[in-house]
Amino acid sequence: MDERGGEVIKGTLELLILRILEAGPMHGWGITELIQQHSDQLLSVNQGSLYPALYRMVRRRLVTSEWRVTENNRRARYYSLAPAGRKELAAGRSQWERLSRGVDLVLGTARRAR
Amino acid sequence: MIRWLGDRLARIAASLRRGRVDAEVSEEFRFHLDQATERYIRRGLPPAEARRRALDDFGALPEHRERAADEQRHRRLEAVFDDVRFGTRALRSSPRFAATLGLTIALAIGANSAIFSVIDGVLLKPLPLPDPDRLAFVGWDHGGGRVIHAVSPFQLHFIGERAGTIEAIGTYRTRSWSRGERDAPETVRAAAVSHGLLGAVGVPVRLGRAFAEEEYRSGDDVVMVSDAYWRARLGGDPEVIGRTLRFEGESRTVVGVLDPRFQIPGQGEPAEVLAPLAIEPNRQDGQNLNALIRARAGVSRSAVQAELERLSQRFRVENPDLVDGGDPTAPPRFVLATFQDVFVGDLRTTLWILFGAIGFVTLIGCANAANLLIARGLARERELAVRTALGAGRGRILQQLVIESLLVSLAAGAVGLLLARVGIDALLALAPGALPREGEIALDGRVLGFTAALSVAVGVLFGAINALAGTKRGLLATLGRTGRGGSERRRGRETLIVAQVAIALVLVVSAALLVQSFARLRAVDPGFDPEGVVAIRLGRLPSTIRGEKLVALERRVVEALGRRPGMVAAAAAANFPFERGLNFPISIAGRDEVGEGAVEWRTVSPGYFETLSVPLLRGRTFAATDDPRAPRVAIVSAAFAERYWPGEDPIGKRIEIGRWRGEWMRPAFEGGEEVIGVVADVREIGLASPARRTVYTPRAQWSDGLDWPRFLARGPADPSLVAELGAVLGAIDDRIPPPSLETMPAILSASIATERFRTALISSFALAALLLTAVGVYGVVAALVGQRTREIGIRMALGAPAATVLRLVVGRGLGLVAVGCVLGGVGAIGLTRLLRGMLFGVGPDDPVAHVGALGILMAVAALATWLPARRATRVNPVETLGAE
Repeated sequence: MDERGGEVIKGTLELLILRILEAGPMHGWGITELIQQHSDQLLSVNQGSLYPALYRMVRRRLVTSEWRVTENNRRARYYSLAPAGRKELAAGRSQWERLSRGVDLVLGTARRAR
Repeated sequence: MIRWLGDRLARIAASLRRGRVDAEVSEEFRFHLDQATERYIRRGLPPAEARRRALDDFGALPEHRERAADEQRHRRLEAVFDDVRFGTRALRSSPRFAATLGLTIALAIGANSAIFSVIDGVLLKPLPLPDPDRLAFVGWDHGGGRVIHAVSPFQLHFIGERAGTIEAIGTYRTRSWSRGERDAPETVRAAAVSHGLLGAVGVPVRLGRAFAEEEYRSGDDVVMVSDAYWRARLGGDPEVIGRTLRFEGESRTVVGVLDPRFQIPGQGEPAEVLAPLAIEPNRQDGQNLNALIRARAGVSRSAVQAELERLSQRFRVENPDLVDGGDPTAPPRFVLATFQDVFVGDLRTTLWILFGAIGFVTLIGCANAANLLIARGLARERELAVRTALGAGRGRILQQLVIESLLVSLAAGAVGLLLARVGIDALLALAPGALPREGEIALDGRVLGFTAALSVAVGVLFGAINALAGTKRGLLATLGRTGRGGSERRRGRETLIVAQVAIALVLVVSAALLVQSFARLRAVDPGFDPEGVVAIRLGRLPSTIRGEKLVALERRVVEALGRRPGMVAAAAAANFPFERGLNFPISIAGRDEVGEGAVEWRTVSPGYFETLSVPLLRGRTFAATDDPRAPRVAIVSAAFAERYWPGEDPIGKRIEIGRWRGEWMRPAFEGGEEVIGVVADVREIGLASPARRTVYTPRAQWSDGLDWPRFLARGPADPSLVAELGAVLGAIDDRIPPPSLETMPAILSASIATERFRTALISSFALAALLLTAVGVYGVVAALVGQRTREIGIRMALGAPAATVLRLVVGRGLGLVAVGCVLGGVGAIGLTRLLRGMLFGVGPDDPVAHVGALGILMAVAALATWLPARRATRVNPVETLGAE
């Protein structure tokens, strides 16, 4: 199987990160792993975009970060959802639904309502 | 402005943090890589392969790091911006607090910058000439550290001929010349420069050429002009070379124009015209030439000094007669001296002490500033606690507080610069005569840099004090408390008070010593009565008025003065008292003994002692009959008589002016003089110096080579005097400019200007320290009363008399003051030693000054304690207890 799978579409990465963090604080590595798992290995995240995205989101106060110790006793930076991030996630979700529905309809891949 | 400064600062702070940000980012990446590697290992890959795959996945590492770090840095920067914004808002919301704080610091910084600019201009800045480190002066150590920073023509020539490490050695004499024709003469600052001076100064000629070798020997018909003079007076004429100008009624040809940078170190006002100066290589007297040298390129100072040591050895061997006996273990020798050694001298210590003193005042000011901040910190404790609870780390709080105080201190620094400008002008106005290199004292880049550095240091210092006093015990602890909390803070403030009192005491003791010393100096009897004496200085006299003609002119002026109503007496003299006179070798007829060689020699006209009210002890004073036809006579001072004829009557004894080691220095001196009178000692060269042994001779008998006269008259200093004397002089020769008028008390006052300068400055610093300390003590005690209002109320409700309450509060306040006094007292005993050289008639450990200063400080501190304490006794128990 191609390890790389589908590259995440630009702009949706932040949304995916927010969704992952909705479940609780996680470090950068964990976020890539979770995205891959939740997408049934269809999506993989390029580290080159992951970390800049995370820092950007910290700056926009969508997420906060702090150093914590993992269950294996390693120091790692954990990111967690900030209130602004929660709102952003909600807004992003509905926007995405509309967008993907629209795209599906145009491409003719949508299952027509019976 | 504040925002701009904040931004700058934030940027600087961010770049300082760059290292840490990078470290955090790479730690995060390492974690990521490790996790990825582990995953591959779990899938069965060998560790090395797993690592490689993980790295492959990760992509170009440095690039990630760069991008990630950029993001990170951005974030930190924003935090700094936030703090700057927040700080600005916080300060704007309490403008009175911000203004008080800012002004305190601005004053401190301004005073520091002003003093620093003087120190920098006078002491620190290198001379504005090429390769200033190769410049030095040569002096002569008589042995045992008696150094004069000057050499004789013979010595100058000796060094110039032999020294291999020296590229050029030169000297100069300052002159005042008149230029132009009879009708409109102008006065020109001129300098006669010896062969070698231009080379030693080391700037090229701008136009034309320098003096030629032979012109230094013969030529008094050539001049060079300064760039400024060329531009202002000669119209910047490019064809000026070869033009003839008239100076002193004689024609001289311009051969060169100097570079704008040209200046002779040590000359106050730069010379406008240079003429060649011939050095008579065999003249062994007149050891009063400043010898400027330029070392050869690449030759170290110590190499030059080493060669001078060798030359000193040769000089002693070749000229045993010129070397005083002295101490054989410390023979006389040539020494190298810096510009500061030669021209700044004692002032150097004064300036550093002023700098130290103002530093002390600044510390006290900062303590007050920190106190203000801490007091405000009390009010903000809850705000800070909330921020802590919301997740701000200690570092973040510290950063915020430091940025806040930096905002204040940088703004204060800017205001301080304005104050410094005013301060510099005030200092220069107060400074004695001319500080050397006065023109270089200015608010330049160096002072700007100093001010900026000081502002940042002050801001960080008290910001940190404040923050540490606040965050020490964990602000969370204070969240739960409703009380006014913070015994930490109180202890911080109390420590500051102790320090303030200690420092203030040192300053007040210093001021007390200087004031006492100054009072003693003023009380010194100068040996004559300066009150009511007018001093008249003449402008430049035409060179044709010399010898007999000059004596005649003097007589006319003295007569004119005597005719004026109210004038009691008048006389001419070569120098006013407190101006240096001639230092001249004089022998006693019939004795081989050389004595100390030189004594003070002053030529005066009849009426001199009467005008100054110098008491005549024996014999008679000069009369009009003591003229060139009469036998030469002299009057000696009591100190002179006591030294050479102890217990004898000096009247009728003979002295020999200009006879040195058995030789007459010039044929004109031959003959000797009869002592006809003894007058009381006069402190001719300054109140602080004991009277020198002095010989007076009548001007009429020494008309050859007579110095220009000054005039003294006892009577009213009426401005109409100038016009009248101007008319008398004009009738003699219309080229003589009108005279200028001074008074003897003013001259006396100017002679102690240095002492007045430092006494006034240190006293005002001490006063400032005292006031600042009083404010500090007041603030702390007032806070104490405020904190304990409840307790005091309870005590009073339980029947404690007002006196007990007063004792409670005052006791605490004065306890702190006492601790400060003990520390300050010890410090004062140690530090006032530095003042030793500046004190006259009082020792650095003078008990009156120390105890008196202690008394003053205690009194002020007691008042500052008592005022708020009194409020405590007015506490109404019922109100206070009901209040909470």
